[in-house]
Amino acid sequence: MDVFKNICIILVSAILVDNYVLAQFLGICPFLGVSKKTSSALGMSGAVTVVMTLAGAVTWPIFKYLLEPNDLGYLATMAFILIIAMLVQIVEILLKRFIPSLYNSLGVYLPLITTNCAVLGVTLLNIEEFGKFYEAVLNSFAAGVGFALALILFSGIREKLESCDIPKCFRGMPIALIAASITALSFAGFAGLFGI
Amino acid sequence: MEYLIPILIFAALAIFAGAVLTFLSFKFPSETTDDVNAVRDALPGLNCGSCGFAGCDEYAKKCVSDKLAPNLCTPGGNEAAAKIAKITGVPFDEVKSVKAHVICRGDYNATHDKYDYRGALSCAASSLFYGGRSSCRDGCLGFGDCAEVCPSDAIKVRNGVAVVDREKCTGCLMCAKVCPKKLIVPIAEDQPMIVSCISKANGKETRLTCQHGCIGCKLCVRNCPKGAITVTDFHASIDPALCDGCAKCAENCPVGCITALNGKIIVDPESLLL
Repeated sequence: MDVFKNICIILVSAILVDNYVLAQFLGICPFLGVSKKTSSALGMSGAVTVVMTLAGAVTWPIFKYLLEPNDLGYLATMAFILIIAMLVQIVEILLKRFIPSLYNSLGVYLPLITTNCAVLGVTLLNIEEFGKFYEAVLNSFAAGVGFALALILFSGIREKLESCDIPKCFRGMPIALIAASITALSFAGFAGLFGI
Repeated sequence: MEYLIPILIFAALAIFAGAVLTFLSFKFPSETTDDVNAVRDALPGLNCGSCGFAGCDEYAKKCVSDKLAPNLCTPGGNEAAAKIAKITGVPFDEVKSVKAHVICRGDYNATHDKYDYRGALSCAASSLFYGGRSSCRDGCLGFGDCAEVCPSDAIKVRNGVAVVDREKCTGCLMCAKVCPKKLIVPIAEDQPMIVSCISKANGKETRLTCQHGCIGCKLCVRNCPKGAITVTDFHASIDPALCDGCAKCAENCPVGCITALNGKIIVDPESLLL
């Protein structure tokens, strides 16, 4: 029962309460850059979720069984960047070979994830907060889902904004930033949900 | 010793990552088919972008996957188009050959310097400062940014104006991309005449800035037997579909801004200076 409760708390916390984009402000670059169209937002959030989950599953054991026993916690950031870059490359090679249509539609987003701070942030927070492997993987996956939720919601807003009569000086990035701030504000409403 | 372990562990991680990637890329090579490679070999490999794609590789890929027209590569010409058509099975069509043309004749004799320019010797730099050193705000600055990027060495700056050698020009239009004044345009190879001025200023203003600028006097319009010339905004333009290259316009142009595109100027403008 404890495990089930734990799972629920991790899911709700990573997706809604501590949403990595809208509450912790990680991964703002793709959040603003890839949210112009819902279709590309879907592609990007799918890629990020896959890479986040994989990264969480690989980096946690490496930290626990390789870096921590040797007292090398300070190497975590560097090592994780290396591992995330490798994972993205692996995903890219496999997609290119087996699902070229998906590879083409993801286009430049996939290599962009290599330097996505949300992915690195999730892996680094994992090793601080979670003592069990399944928790770390679950949190990574939920973080990806939270990223997807934020990105898709926001791209919907931006698509609506396209057809609005916005004052000239607010068009484009300014109104997007304002919309982002209001979306972040609305996610602040989840704070304290279920006492998390 | 205490430094050695972290270095070794990190190096081991890096080598492991490299090994995994190398193994995977050999095990699962991306599918560039023989067709793409064949098309790529048929292209000249200048990566000039005149086809509208990000390079020869990209165009080759699209040629095979989307069955694109094979005649988009201007530097490759009909030869490349024929080869590509054979590989992809798309019917062959002749390359519509274009040549770059600098629409300006405002050399040092025709224009004067607005100010004493001592900055970096490039058109891009000069144009940032009050639109460049030339008295004509639309005219060629003559620092030769275009000549520098030209892969086939077809552009020379002569007396302050860039001139395209039509024999050498492959029509890749890299020059057009760097010209800060947007003076270089693609002109169909068989177009006989062109108005070599883009100034939209009125006659008096143009006269003051450049002796070869189009003043919109409409003498060419009256003298054209085909009715191919129109003047809008104090600026003549020739409809290439109607022009038959009789050069009557150039003979009658008081400022000598209409040129025949074989590189020859019909009337010596020196004799026509007002």
